[in-house]
Amino acid sequence: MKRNFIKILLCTAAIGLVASCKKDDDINKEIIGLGGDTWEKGPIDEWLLQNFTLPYNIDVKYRWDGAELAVDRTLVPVKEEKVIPLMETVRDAWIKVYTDEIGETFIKKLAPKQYVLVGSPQYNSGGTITLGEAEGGRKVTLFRVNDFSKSNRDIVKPILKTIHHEFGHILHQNVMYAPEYQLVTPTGYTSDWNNISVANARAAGYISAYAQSGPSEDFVEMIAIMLTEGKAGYETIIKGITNAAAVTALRKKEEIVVSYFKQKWNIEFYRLQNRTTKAISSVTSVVPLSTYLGFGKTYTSLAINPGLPDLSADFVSIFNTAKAGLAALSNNAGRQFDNFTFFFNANDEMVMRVYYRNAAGSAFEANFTYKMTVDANQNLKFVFVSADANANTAGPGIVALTNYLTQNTFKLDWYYSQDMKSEYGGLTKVGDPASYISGVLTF
Amino acid sequence: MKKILVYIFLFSIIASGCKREDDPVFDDPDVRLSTALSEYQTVLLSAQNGWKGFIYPAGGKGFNYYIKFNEDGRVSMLSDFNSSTAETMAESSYRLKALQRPTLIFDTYSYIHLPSDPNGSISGGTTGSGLKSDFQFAIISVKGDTIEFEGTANKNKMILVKATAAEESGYLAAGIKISMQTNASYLTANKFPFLDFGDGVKQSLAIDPTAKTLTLIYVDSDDVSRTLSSNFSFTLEGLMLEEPLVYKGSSFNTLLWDADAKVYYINNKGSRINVVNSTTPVIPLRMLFGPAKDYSQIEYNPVAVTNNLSSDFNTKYAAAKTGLNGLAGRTLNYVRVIFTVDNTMLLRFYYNNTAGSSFQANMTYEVTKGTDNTYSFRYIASDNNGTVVGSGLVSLKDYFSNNTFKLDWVANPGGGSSFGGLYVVNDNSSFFYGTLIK
Repeated sequence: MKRNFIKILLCTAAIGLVASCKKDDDINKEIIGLGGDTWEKGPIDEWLLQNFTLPYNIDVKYRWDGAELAVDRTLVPVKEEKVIPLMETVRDAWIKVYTDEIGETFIKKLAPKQYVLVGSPQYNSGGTITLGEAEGGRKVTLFRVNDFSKSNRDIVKPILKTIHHEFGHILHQNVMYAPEYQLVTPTGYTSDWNNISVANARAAGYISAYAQSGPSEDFVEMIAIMLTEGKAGYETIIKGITNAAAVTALRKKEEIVVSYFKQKWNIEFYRLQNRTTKAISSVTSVVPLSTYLGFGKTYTSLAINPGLPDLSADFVSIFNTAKAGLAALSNNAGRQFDNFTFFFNANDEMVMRVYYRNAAGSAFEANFTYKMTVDANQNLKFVFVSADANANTAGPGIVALTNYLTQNTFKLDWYYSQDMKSEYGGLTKVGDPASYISGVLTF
Repeated sequence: MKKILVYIFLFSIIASGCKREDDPVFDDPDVRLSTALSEYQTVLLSAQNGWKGFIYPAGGKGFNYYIKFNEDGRVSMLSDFNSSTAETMAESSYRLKALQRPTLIFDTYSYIHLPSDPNGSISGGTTGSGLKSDFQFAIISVKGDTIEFEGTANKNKMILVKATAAEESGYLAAGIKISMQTNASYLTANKFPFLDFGDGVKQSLAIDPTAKTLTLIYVDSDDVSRTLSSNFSFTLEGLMLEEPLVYKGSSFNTLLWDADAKVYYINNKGSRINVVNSTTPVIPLRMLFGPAKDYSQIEYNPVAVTNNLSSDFNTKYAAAKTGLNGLAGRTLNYVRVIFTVDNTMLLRFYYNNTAGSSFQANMTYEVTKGTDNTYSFRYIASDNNGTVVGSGLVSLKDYFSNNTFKLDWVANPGGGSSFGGLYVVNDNSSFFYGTLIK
């Protein structure tokens, strides 16, 4: 018994001694490679530090790091000269759009913490290429950076679409969108989306083929496409869909997106959309307004309401002269000039319809028809052709306006209201950018 | 006793268990790693005149780089990728990093990435994978003035060799571009270059500057055509092969350019062998001629082929022309020798009658091939037209049946494609010749 006791004691002592052996490893020593790569910082690193890391806590990794990327794909690093132009675009047409709208805290809180840049596209086995990828709202990888060209809208827009798309995911991962969204077109979601054409996807009520891959992708595709196409571009897409049920579905999705931004984030989506459109156009080339406005185009008329703010001072004074002139007709009969609209009824014809009331309050329309010519610089000239009976009556009164129209050359331009809520079309007097007639683009 | 042993055993555990042998045989691995990285950095910077780099990607071709590392993480390079990269220095960044092994990473885009680019129209390789080249290299060894690397993605070998001051100024003066231009004009001027290692076997030497391959083709003693091939890159001196080409104990891995003599040469075991230009293709025509081979017909058409290269044949042809003309004014236009699959030869005459209608007359010969690659033809029969006009064409008909022939090239004095010829054995001045047709 005693022996056994000693044995046990000895064993315990042995174990105790082994266990109590002192470890004096220096746990504070530096581990090589931990804490990120280090290299001599150059001007690009400094620029990224000042523009992304310090203000927004976003790390932009432009130097090759194979550990961040798929090992089974052939990819190459970025060309250094592409980094700053690309990230300027990202800053101006994504970060700045949000900070202007809702302030810096929003972006600082929600932006992905890391951008990884890759020179080439990522080629997939199905023959498609990947332009962007996001991982859990933390890291966004942008491919095909070496093709980046700031002046080429066809390259700039897809990259921004990718960024807005991935950021859309972050937003709904933080606050989920309304469950009704996935019930708008519940039956069409499929993993086989890449075999669906864009036209077929749209005819089924999805904004893109990829939107058909699932409700969340659908939701962020709506956000990304509405933002990067802009109002006119988006309306053009909608106008191109012949299936009425699909249009209804897309309008419903649009409504859910807009109210999601308002209710969950307190963001006016249409204002954000206008800001994005304007920002894209200021970093890269502008889509001419003539693409969307004109005979047979998305918009066929321009409604000028002199009651709106944001009109040019020159135009306001001309309008006021015309207004006074119309009132003074027939010994101050008191006709009231309300507003007017330009209708583009044919390729070479524009009708200006003047809406006015007589002193008794009855409404009248006067139609002035002009021949419209477009020169090689896309400048417009109007030549008076004819006037209807009312126009013959009203014409002498509004001569200030009709002279302005026929005695100048104009170009079509985009305008935005001061509060960025509205996107306008306008005729700018060539040679005097401060003088223009802007109004609401209508179908 | 047994118990005592147990106690001794237990105490030995206690005694030894307490001693922590924490000092590794070598230094701490992290310390060693960072030491190694900074040593390699020193090595990279030690080449005062930069490095000559060679890489032969798994996807084909081969590339030569002139690379100069700076201590601030910048690297400049030139390359024989194309004529512009051979002339204009590009600057980008690099870093040394401990991955599985100490690794040199060219971490922003430069000429070294061009062969890796998955865009096939940039790399010249397959879209999706490029030429399967590398731009991250694990350091394998440093020996003397040479560093050997292995690509981490595609396991390509890259060699960096310290450049001399003369080589540096050569590269900076667009020396690789000059080598590329020299090669292009050499290939224009020299249609049929060949090497002879001294045993009389002519080795046709083909340089394809697009695929970056150098190919030797020769006919061995068993009369079988053999091919030796290697990828190459352009250097200041000429061409550097990926692997030495070995032939019967001779070998070479560089093709050097002699700017004064305007010839390529190799150094074979210390002695210089020039690449010689032949006026006709180096591979014997008999290797290429016959039914179902590259060529099976030879056409003599006085309008298309240089006349009177063989006065004997010219006389025979003129006699046939006169003879045919004697038969109701028919005009002989041209004549073909056609080897057919059933081991016969067709001698086909093309002619017009006076009304301008075209006809063919065929004479059939049986072909006997001698062991020394000679051909003899035994006349068998003529077709209907051949029977009608045969009496006028007897000079050519007999020329083929009365002689034994050997197939070989005939130089084209006009500089175009070489002609095919049937030489009369024992009389090299007499031969039928003409355009080769498949």
